[in-house]
Amino acid sequence: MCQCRVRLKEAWLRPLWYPVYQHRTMLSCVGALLALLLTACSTTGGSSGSSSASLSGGKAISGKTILFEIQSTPSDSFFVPVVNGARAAAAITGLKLEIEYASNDDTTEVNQVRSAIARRVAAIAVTIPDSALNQTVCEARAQGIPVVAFNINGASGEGARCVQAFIGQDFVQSGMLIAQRMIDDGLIKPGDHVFCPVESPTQVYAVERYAGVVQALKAIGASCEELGTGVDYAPARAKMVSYLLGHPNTSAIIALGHTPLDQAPAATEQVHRKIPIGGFDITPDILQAIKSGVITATVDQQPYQQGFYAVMELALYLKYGLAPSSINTSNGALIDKSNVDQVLSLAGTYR
Amino acid sequence: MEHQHLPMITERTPAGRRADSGRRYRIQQSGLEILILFLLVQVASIIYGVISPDTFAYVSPANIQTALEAIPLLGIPALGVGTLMIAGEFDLSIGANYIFSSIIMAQLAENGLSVWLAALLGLGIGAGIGLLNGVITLRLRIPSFITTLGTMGIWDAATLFIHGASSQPFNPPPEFAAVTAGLFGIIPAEFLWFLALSIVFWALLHQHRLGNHIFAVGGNKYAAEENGVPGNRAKLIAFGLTGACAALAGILAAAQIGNIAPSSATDLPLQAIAACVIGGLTLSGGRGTVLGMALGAALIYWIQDVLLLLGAPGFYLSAFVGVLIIGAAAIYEQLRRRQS
Repeated sequence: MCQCRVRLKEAWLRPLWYPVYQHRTMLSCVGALLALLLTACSTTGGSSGSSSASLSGGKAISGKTILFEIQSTPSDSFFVPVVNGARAAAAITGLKLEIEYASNDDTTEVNQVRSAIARRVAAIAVTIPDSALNQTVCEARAQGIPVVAFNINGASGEGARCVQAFIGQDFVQSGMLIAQRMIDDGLIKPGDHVFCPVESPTQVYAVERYAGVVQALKAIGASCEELGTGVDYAPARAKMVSYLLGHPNTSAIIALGHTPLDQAPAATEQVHRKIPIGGFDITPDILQAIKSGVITATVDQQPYQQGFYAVMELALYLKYGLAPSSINTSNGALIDKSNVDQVLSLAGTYR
Repeated sequence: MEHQHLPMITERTPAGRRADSGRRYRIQQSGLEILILFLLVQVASIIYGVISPDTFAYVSPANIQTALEAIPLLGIPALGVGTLMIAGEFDLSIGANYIFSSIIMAQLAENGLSVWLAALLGLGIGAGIGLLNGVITLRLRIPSFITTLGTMGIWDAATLFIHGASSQPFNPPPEFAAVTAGLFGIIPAEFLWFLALSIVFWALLHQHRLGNHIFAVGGNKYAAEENGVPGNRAKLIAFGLTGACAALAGILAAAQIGNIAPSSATDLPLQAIAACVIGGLTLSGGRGTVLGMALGAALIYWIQDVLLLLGAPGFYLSAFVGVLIIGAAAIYEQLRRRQS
């Protein structure tokens, strides 16, 4: 007998049409060709910043350029709300955004930032995955260019001192937050074995979230094991199913990234087990699973804030000399059944 | 094992060339070595799974179903990549093709086009991308490695231009879902597609004249063409098949997951090549079997599955898998050398 295994989903999630590329001319040619072939697909663009300033007094900053450097790829959907937040702040302050993607390559990121320093950009907002950018951020500061890190700050030593502020999640605290929530709900008990899948176990976000989760679990005598799943949903689900079958003592899942959290409900369903699930970040499916009670809660990084405040703090520094301040964008930002409805309508754009 | 070498190149008449183009240039391989390796893993796993079902859930329906869902998503692209490798070429753009074709298909379907027609268009786009790789490679006479490295970037960017970076949901109607991601008992539809395609590729490569030409042109293109084999045509068809396979895998994955993330499938090209090498294909072309491609893809999955079921530490899983992939390839190479 043929059974359908594809879950019905609501069709509310619309594609986001926005420019996420730098070489627009070349892409326009490719896109025009494709548009002829695929008339059912529409294409639209967007502006890269606005000149309508609404801040008064201080120095004139309208039209000045900020480098908004992202270490990931243009296809990383996590950064969609980050960029939206940055654009909103640029529109308010009249700054011009120059968005660049390093495609997860330190050398590319260093070169892009150095090139921006040479072009004398007014300020730099940058994701710093590791210490490779230490020297570069200090070069920028030496040239009088303010630097704020967002999303991730892996700068160390002198480099850490050159970064004026970090706008992003406190990963360790967030790890403790979700683990403690599940302990408080009675979903994790002393002696329990918790499964902690994550896309890339060696990345700073994974290491620190794991440290936070372990800290909370250790306090009650529970343990947690990581598994690298990668970013592809289908293989991630298959790996998680194998793990759950090989570790029948697993009593809870805390997924340290959105890929394993998105696939955790399907994986537990496939092994016919009801295991409490919690984790980090949001996707439409994660929110639906929270709504239906399959996922207990997720820690939201509030990525829109990361882009918005990174640009806004730089604008205030340039205009009024206000020193940038670090912000933990996940300060108690748990999404659970009580507040998921508000998030659902904003996912992918503002959340 | 019989090794049939290409004849010496001499001046030939057109009629003579036509006659030679029908010669059998396949280096005879049975894929027996990879089959033995595969069966050893299976027999050992099944015996242990039956003896100790509580600690090693290998024969549980959930594990079997998951494996049969996961393997085709690598196995189907591996069939295309393997055919192209036998023809002496590579395609590094299959990951970008997989995403682009499936996102276009899902967008068209979500915008009201018949999902069947959308899927056909997706397959057509995939095949078209493959053919374009072939035309660029053969016309400009540049290595396919370089061509497809370039087109990988172009199709990645095209996905962003057409769709953006957000995930594309895909909610197919039940009849389409049943055919692409349904369950027939505990056998997933994806696996039946993989099985059917493997048979088609076996017939094409090992029984049809086109397969003979693909082996010939991969072994020695110059000699093959001197003997009347239409080398460029064979390569072009192999490129097209590779693109179509990547698109089909993307469509099946979209139906299985209900979502397509533009950032995914970046590892697919290298994984597919690894599956083919484990399956006995050579990077220099002209050798290989469809059985090897299929079992190579299955072994990559099963190595990881067995380790996880045995409770191997998840943090170091990639190291175990890496060592075992090299080990499997080395054992296979030794077996093959001994037999030659």
